[in-house]
Amino acid sequence: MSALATTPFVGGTFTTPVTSDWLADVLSRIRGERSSIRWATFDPSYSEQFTPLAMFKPRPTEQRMSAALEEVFTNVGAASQSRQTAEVKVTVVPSTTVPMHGERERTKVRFRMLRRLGPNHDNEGAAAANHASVDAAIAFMDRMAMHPLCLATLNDDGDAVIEFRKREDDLFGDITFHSGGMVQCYSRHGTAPSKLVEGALGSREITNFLQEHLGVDYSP
Amino acid sequence: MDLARLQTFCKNTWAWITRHEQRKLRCDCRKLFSTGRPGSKFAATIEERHPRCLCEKVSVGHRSPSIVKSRELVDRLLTSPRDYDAATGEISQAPFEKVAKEGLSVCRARAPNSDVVALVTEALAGKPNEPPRQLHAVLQISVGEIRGMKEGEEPLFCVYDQTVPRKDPELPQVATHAGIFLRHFPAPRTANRNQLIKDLAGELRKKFEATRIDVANYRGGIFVEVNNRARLGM
Repeated sequence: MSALATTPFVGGTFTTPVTSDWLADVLSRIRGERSSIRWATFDPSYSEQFTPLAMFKPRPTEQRMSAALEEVFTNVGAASQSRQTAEVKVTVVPSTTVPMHGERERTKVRFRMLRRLGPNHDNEGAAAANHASVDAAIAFMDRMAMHPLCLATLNDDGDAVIEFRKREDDLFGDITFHSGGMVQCYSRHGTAPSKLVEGALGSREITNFLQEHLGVDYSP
Repeated sequence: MDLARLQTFCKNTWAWITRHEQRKLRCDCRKLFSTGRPGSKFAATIEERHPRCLCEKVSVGHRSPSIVKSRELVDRLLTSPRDYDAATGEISQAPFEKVAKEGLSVCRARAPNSDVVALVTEALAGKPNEPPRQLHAVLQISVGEIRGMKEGEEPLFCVYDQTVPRKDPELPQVATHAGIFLRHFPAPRTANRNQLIKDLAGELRKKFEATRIDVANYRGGIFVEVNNRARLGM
């Protein structure tokens, strides 16, 4: 059994052998508990200088964590000339902050922030936020069952867009809020052909699409 | 006229024709790219007038150092708050759909710091009632990787040395800017046009996301201070 399995992860300091199992294990633990992690360091036991090989700030993205830990894995392995015996000291400090909002509220707060964007906010000619569209997206947030990861954004015409991602299933989808209660829904799942549908929000076609292709339950 | 002289004559004439055609192409392409801020149909216009990335062969930008070579790296600077979620680090796909319209703006990695600072400071200058802007991160990709995205034998994207004017027209253009344009997309009014654009924009985003550089590690961290100044409204 690995050190990770026997030691409390958040708040723990432990020394662990660096193997590919370790890499997968530590990534999975950080991914699962990242909201409660303030920061984490990975210090190689062979290093004379106390310089962490990897350090994670709050809410690190999976991609960054994965890239940094792959680097730790390679560097520690190369330095010890044997990945089986090399060790690192892992320190995971719990978060001292209490999240102010759940994901739903946070997404709505972000839409309210984006609503204030004026013309050419990206210096590439994007239109100002379409207030009616952003308001429709905020109202939608209150009527949908929360999806694990969604991102509030705008398209270049200023229309509100909610993007959905589920990395483990290679799923990407979005909902674009047009004027007059019309929406465009898009879904792409792995290498399968993508799907796109346009219609009135609340229509059977759109509600079914959201549920079947994006995993979003919406109550009109 | 003996055979050797005839061969030389033909060779010189062919070289002259090639040079002439090259000059004409450069002139036409520059004219197309110098029409001020491109509109939402710019990608379609380029493909219509100079199909199959023809303008990649000549330098189209004002005072551009050279055409964009496939071995070069280009950087996508994330500055608008709509492009990323600072709390989760997630990057939005929506801006990548620009490739089918006015083009996706990137900065060539060979750019001097002064050019990148010019691009970033202009992008960070928002209006007082707007949310603050920051250079959040930089996505880097090789041009060869973009040009290598194909449908069959046909390239999907073109990368041009498109320079951009500064907000102050008195200042020289940013010479090391480049633009990425989708070239292989269905005509307007095609039923699944939006769907295909989203598919291709998604593929491009995935490739860009593979190399993400934090601001502290980009160009020696010079933009940490620029971000601080932007936060304070200086």
